[in-house]
Amino acid sequence: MPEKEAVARAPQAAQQPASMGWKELYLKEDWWAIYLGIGIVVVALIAFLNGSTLVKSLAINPGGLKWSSFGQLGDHFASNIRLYALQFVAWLVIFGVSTRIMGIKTSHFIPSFVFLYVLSIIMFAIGGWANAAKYNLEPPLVALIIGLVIANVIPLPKWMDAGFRVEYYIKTGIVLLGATFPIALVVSAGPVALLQATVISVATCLTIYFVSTKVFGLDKRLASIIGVGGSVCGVSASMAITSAVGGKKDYLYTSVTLVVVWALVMILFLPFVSKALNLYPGVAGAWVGTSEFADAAGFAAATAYGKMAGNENAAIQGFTLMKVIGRDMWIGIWSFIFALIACFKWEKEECGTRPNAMEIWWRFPKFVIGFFAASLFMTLLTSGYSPAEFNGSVKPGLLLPIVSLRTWAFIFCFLSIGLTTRFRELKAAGVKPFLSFTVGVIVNVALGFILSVYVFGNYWMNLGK
Amino acid sequence: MMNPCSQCRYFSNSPAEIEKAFPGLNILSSAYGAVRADAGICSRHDLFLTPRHQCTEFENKSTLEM
Repeated sequence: MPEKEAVARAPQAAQQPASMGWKELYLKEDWWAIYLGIGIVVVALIAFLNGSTLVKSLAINPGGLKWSSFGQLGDHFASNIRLYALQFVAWLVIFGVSTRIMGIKTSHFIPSFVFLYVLSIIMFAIGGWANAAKYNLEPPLVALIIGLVIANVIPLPKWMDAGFRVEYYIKTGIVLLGATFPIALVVSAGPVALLQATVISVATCLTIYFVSTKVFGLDKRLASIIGVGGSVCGVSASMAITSAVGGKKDYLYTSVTLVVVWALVMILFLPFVSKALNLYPGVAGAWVGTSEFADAAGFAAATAYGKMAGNENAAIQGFTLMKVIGRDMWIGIWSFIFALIACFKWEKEECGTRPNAMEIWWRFPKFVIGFFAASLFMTLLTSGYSPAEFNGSVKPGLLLPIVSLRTWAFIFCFLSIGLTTRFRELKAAGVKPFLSFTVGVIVNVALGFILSVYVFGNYWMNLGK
Repeated sequence: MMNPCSQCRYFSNSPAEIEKAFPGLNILSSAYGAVRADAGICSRHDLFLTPRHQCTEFENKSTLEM
């Protein structure tokens, strides 16, 4: 029986089983990222209001040392060993317990996380070297490259992936980022980001779709999967579209390879080209946000360039506005649109009912809610302080420790990208899908540059000031 | 009326199994994320789809245990 006749039939509305329901609240890492991010912010706030330095002490990292001899570095660790031990236990407990509840084996997570934490300290230490900037030793790039080398040279057991939770760490970091992200900025620049993201997403998706189907004659489902993967949010978006249209497993696997390969290329390409063009950090952040395929990869590129340009905050703000606020929220909408197309156009004879619009909510990247909540909460809370109080007390006592903890979450993520990338495991994507996707990448990068630099450059230029 | 894939023996949406089935998926994404929702794998047709899809080759999960 042809596949089309047997499967992927849309359900009758009356008998559609609900999605995960309330179980999602403890089985999905998006919600755990919200609980952890908001929880850390609340604990930091309570400590700050009570004059406690506990969170500030726990947020220690060697990234700002500017050490010039190993003796200095050794002294730092020797005098702060208890704080590092306490911090390690805190991370281990919150990530270990939450991943256990999600179904990840604790016996696999613990040794893996120990390895990740030790490597993270080394990454911070490299970034804290006085000459790090001179040699472009930006922690995100160093973490990525060292992770890649380890994963592809040393045969780490596959079970260690239990602790290399790229998405979980980046989502937690994004919620923490919300706490230092003024809500006024979201309100003022958010519409521009949405507009730019809409133009880019539609242009890139349609380019890949039409090149795939009209030029190379690829299947419409595959075209839609790699089209949305290249234009909205990489592998996550591909997963959403594959399931919405009932696509072949192979199609998703193809998209995984294309996204991973191009995302890694872009992590290295975008920061160095931005540097060569001497772009404003906010502008480069917006460009990265427009042209990277996944949040984790994009944060690595934006953070790296921000450090190169001396204004990490601006680059991260530009990236966050474009990618997290502008593009990620498209996932559910694209899924629903393609589910409708698949149902009414591609398999018209079999389908008499309409896909459920609730898919938009079920597939919504919920951690974004945590980002907004943290931003709103901290903006309201700190608005009552005078500039002098803010800079003298709130910033060093409350915000900077949260920034440091966010940086930890990001380093866990950047290392995990490298540590989970085993090139030998990636499926050969095929020439036609690769070329279709590559045309989309070229359109995306070029159009993203024009929009970020020439059309909306004035907005992005003012970020981080 | 046909039964949905969620009740079919060929359907699995365990996040661990999904990450095992797609090596590399966890590099820049995750089967534990909200975006996947409850989608899973049909081992009968090698598809990735929602548990609300249906098909004529449905076989109840309970037959697996008999």
